[in-house]
Amino acid sequence: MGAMWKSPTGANAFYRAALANLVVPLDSIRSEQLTVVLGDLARRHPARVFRIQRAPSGPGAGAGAARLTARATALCHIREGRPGFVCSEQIVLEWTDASASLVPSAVRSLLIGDLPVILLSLAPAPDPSWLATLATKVDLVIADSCVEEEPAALIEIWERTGRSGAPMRDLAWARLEPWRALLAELFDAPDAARALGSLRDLTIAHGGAAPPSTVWLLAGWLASRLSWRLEGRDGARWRFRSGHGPVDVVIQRNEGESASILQWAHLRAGGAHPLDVRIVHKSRGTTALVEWLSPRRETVTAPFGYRELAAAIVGEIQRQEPNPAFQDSSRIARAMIEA
Amino acid sequence: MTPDAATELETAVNPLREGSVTLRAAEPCTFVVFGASGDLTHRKLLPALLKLSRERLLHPQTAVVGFARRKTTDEEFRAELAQLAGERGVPEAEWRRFAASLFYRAGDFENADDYRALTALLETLERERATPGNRIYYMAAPPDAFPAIFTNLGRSGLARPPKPEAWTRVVVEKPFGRDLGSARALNALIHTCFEERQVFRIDHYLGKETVQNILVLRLANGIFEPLWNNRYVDHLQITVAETVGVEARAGYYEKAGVLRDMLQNHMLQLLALTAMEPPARFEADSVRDEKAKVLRAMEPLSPELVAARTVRGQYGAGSVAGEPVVGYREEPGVNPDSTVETCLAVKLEVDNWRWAGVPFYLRSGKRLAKRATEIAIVFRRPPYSLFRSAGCGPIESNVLRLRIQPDEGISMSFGTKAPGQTLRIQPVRMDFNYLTAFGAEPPEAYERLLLDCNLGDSTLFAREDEVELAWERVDAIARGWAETGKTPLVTYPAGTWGPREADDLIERDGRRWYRV
Repeated sequence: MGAMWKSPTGANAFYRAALANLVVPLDSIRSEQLTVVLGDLARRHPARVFRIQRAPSGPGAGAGAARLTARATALCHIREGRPGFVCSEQIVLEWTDASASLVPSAVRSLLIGDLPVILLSLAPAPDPSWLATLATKVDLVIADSCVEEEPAALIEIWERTGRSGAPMRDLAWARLEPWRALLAELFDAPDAARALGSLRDLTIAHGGAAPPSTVWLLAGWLASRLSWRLEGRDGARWRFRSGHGPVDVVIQRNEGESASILQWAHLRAGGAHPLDVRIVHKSRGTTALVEWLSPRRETVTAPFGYRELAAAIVGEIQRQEPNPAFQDSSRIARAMIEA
Repeated sequence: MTPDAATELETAVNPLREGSVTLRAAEPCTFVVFGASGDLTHRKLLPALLKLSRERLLHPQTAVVGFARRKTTDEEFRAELAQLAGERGVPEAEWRRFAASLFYRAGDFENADDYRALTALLETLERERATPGNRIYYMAAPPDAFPAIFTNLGRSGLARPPKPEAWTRVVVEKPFGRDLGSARALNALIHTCFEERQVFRIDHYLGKETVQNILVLRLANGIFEPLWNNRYVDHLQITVAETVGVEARAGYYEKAGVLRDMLQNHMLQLLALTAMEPPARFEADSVRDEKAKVLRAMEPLSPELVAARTVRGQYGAGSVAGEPVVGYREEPGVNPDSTVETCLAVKLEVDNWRWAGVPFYLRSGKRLAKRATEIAIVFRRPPYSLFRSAGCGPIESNVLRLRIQPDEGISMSFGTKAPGQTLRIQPVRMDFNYLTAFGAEPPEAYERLLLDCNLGDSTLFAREDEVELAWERVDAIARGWAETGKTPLVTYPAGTWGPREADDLIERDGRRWYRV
């Protein structure tokens, strides 16, 4: 690799770029899937990537091996429209039970000194034993509550985002961004905005066995923005109260969809400003279907800012401002889960 | 929510917008490109719109309508761009999506009937695409067509927004006039149908990331602005060097020369951004007020000062990057006796509290040794040469270089002790490069500027008074050259750094041009 960085200019030049240190613990299940994401991520936000994974079992690499092993590689992409390659260094660190405690010190010694350290924690609980030690010394933790199936694990992530120490971001919130943008856009029109105050019913449908965290956060976000107060729960129906009266929130499972994703949201308002609209989004689609039943009947295809995972991660890395909307939404989401 | 709060909701801003990140997402609109068959449209505008579309920064309902004399159909217009999209590896689906928004209307700039046909097409597109009627008219046509276009935009009603909630804007390409009189006449013509807030005079240099970074470097870092004045800065150099000759633009260049082609717009804009006071707010008029103040603080040169502080040259035959090239007068379309300058060097002064006594040396030319645009801020040397007694020679000044293109970035040179047993001070560079820091090249200037225009942000566009102030300064130089005859046109070999006289201009002051 040293020779690569000294390569000539022009078509065969390798440019080494880094804006951050990216520490990524991987489990065996997601390792392959995240390999693609890490390549995309390094292209969008060059970094020295620390890929930390459990050593494969086999002769000489069993759980008893007391040493870490490491190798250096590079994630490169061709420059757009110009000769040469842009590369991010990648350090692959493999650990065993016996060497797990050495991981934090190994990572610390290899960090680029003047760049932020970002911990990308995308594997579900339980965390490897060394992660807590490492997490105390990083500048940003990015987690993904969507990978958690247990409500307690979701809540744990949301709780940690509010604690002092390294700031923490939840990718579920980033995934919700296009939903929030589209909903906000629908209610920009004065007629629709007036109906917001008299919303009576919100139904959110999801695939998979349990609601993904985006479902909880969407309900929490609408409740916090519209100042709904949670009063109780009856099965999959939550009763809120707005300034104009009761609001029912229903979370329902779509048996036909196995992937754990937010599928559609249906909002209804009564009174002087009737409204009935359903937004349907199919996985990874860049558009969503907006089905208006009231005050007019029409179905329109609206742009939906779906982002690949790497783009969502970069968005969270670059987010600089505090995120009170997320804190408010997750607080209500937690209350719904615990009700 | 209390009943009061609910009532409030009926009139307040959309509460779902609260706390959301403001994305630079464009509003639905129709771009109408006058002069759509020209080089600029195919080389810059349409590729920039395609890129914005691919990055989903254009609203999906956006349409692009080309308008020009050449008879072409929508399909042929799309096919021309399809080739370009293919060369750039644009995925088929993305190309199809963009192509569906491309339209063409053949028309004569002077024929009122053709504007009626254009109106009908725009109304149809706006109805079909359910856009509110927002329109951007892009003047990519030759300047001599502007009077006809603006007159007809006014008469046909196209200049007015079709609905109360819609807007219309006009983007005007350089050259914005060829002297102060013609610039004023053009401003007056534009204002017969557009208000100043609707006018976006484009100078693509201002859309370059590195140019925008001038303000960020100065005003978002605590260490530079305190030094940004005549107490610490010895002088500034602005170099805009091209290796190309006139190419296919001889007709235009014979009337313009480097003075009008470069100094009046790009170079004076770079100077103004570098020298301006911090604006009260980062918004269009605050920034442009400060730039205009800089231009006002540069008195137009008297004929005597023009003779003393300017150099003009014209390239002769030579070789550029190892290839032999002909001289300017041998270029196709150029008058064999042409006295048009292809290179200039000028020393300017900004007479205000911050910059009094600090010279600004500007140079630009065609067929120079290297393509490079750079601003060098050269700092004063230390007041006392401590290391002279240890046998060290004169210490180099610290130089902060803002590289606008290519290899966009910033470098700072400073003296350091060279390794060894003797005390030897050697200048070294700290280098920031966009590519190696961010792993990506900055976006094309036109992408940024087209998006800004759509969003109604005119910060990076020149205002009427800036353009006129710049012309006053440039006209003074042109007048000096024409009237005194004391600034002879000197020939320089192509592929060099211009005439010897340009070096003399700065060396007379005990300084030198920094290598770019």
